[in-house]
Amino acid sequence: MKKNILIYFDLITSLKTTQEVADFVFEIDTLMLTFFKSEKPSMTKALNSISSDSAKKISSFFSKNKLDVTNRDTVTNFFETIKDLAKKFKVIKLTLAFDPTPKTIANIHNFTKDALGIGYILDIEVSKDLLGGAIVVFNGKYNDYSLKKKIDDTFTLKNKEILQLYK
Amino acid sequence: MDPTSIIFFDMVASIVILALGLVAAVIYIAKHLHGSHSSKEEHTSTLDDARTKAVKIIDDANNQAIDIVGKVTLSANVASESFRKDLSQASSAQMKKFEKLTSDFTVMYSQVLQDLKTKNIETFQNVSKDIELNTIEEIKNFKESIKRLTVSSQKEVKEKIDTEYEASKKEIDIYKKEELKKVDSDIYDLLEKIAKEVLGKAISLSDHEALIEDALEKAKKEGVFKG
Repeated sequence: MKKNILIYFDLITSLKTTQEVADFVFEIDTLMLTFFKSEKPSMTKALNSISSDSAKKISSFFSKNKLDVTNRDTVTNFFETIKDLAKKFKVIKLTLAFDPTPKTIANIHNFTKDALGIGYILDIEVSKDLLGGAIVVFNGKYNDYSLKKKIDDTFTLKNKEILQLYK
Repeated sequence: MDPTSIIFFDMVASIVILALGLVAAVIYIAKHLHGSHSSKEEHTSTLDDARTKAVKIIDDANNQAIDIVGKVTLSANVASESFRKDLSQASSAQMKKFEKLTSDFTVMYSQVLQDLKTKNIETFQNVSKDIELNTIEEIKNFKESIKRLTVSSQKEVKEKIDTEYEASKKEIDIYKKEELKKVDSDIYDLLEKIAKEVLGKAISLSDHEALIEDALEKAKKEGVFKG
């Protein structure tokens, strides 16, 4: 059976951070377990075992794409595809100077989606020493775009001039 | 012992010998007379005669002795006078000789003294010169030695000062660098604190988001997300 990845677009793009992905995969596992353990599987019942937000997204996905929630193969395919796609996310590790709100995370994620495309999620850490900006680590590459780094660089470049003031 | 005394004692001895001879003769005769008891009365006259003769002999002997003593005394006086004269002459001669000798000796002594004095003066002058030369030489050597020592000491002191100076300079440089590093670090810390203080308050949420977007944009431009 050929998989139609595009139908997962909304569901996939709704996940913005590694934490959200991990939580979502955990909920999928819970859902799978609940769904397949009953003799007469019921998606509606199974969705009660996960968070309402996730349940709403999955329910919306099935209804929007007119998929049969009673069909074991369809449901199995959904679970496998979702888990497979979750593994394919590219992680952008960001170290920020402040603790971002969900809205800020959404804004940052939207920016990455616009700039880089879909399939990217954020792994966010907080270090207030950075003052501002961010440290970006992707695919093992480390790039410091923080204000602290800028200030340090400025002081290094202007070191002689600064020291001259003290002589 | 002077000659007059010798003659006098010779005379006295002669008189004594004659007197003893006379006494011996008288004793012999007396014994001879005494021994012949034949005719005491006969012999009385003889004895008287003998006694008279003996007295006469003794008188003669005494006279002769007195004469001899007188002669001897005279002779002794003459001899004494002569001796005194000779002694006086000899003494005078000796005195003259002695005076001459003394004079000569004095002259010689003066000469010797003069020579000694001259020699001593020369010796002293030479010694003085030698001492002067030696002293000058010693002073010169001492000066040279002091000069060498002074130069050596100066060199050593200079080397020590140079070494100490270099060490101090290094220490100061190290200290200066460390202090500058501290100042650097302090400045960074201070400015970072100030920046943090100022920026932490000044940067709004939208500014933060803009800075993050800038960071991501730069990362994209630098090809961080490629591959």
